[in-house]
Amino acid sequence: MTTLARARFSQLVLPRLDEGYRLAHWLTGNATDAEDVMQEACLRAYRAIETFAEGNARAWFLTIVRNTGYSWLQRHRPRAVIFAEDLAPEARAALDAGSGLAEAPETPEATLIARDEAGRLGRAIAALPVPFREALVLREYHGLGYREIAEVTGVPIGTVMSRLARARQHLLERLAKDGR
Amino acid sequence: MTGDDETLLLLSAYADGELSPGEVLAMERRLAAEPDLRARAARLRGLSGAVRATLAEVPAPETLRGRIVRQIGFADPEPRRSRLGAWPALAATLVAGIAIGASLGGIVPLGTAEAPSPVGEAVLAGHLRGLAAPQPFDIASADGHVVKPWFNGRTTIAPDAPDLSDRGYPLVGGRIDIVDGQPVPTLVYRHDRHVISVTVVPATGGAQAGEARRDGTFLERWEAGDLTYWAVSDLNARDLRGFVELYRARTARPR
Repeated sequence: MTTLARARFSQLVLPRLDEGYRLAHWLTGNATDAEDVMQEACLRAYRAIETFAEGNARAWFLTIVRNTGYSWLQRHRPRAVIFAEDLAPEARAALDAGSGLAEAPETPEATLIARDEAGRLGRAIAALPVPFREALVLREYHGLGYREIAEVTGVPIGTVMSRLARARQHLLERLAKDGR
Repeated sequence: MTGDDETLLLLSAYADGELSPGEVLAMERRLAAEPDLRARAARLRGLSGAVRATLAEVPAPETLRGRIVRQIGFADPEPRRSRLGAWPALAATLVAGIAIGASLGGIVPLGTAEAPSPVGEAVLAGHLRGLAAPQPFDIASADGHVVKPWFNGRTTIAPDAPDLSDRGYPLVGGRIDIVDGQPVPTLVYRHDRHVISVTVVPATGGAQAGEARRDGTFLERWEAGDLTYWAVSDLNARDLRGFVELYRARTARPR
């Protein structure tokens, strides 16, 4: 019943286009590719809409966007899709929590990272490896809990926890370094 | 290093509100005792705020929605004119009709029917709102064994949802309406292009079975057990009566 499918689509998916788009944008790194990913993700969501029963429509749709984004990355940026376990040594070192603690910034830039730093922060986020970036986006922008992030990204909760902690530590170090 | 690593994880999870109560307690004790840790917690909070703002800054293209909608329209393998395709138009017509009709006069009781009750008004409003919405139901299913249990936990009443498609009244789903401040179940049937809502409320007693009409919409009411059933539709009175008799026959408890 395609009218039903369309009705459900407009109820479940259309209100979530903007947040889906922002996930796609932060995954692919630019607007054009994000739109491509969204178009494909919406088609996938539409085809699957009748099998989506009850539950968390938001996490369901974000999972589709995320997986579509990953397929896109694998096709077009195979090098970007690095999973935590096979991180290149230098990337692993950069994200290793221990490495930066000794030189953690002493300045209380802490409470507020000034607005003019937003550009630098954006670049630092974009430079994070994909698994760390997506955890950060799903947490900070989409406001998902660890359990939901684990479901969307298909990893254990403990991995979500450590990716978030490392991503944040890395960002703080990057900002501190740039600030000098 | 390992200890620091763990502290980093705990601190981050603490900032996210993801620690267990016991862990929160331990963390807050440590925060009170260790100024360095407090500074790190403050940095994390500051970072979160800045990251959030940065992530949300990405502008979402305004044309995206239009493109997606067009794409779904094109991708649709079936002809645009499906059996239910006229619903939005039908709903629009109805809403317009109601608006015009409302200015001409309220509910017109038919025959011996008494003046419409507040319950009837609420039931009618639920039906009309269902027509105006993208779809007149919250759960889409032609299977009564899916629709009936869906009401469990959502309302205190779970009505039988017989499939009457063999007589031209297929079940298409169910929804929750609010009557007298209470969530009540509504079954949605279809007959050609007409939508029939069957809303079930606890019986208030006193009132006899009856019917009422408002513009093109008919309401028919009957009691069964301790429940009052309302059927609402823009079907003509005769067909609605036929539907009601059929529904009552199929839901009658064999005894």
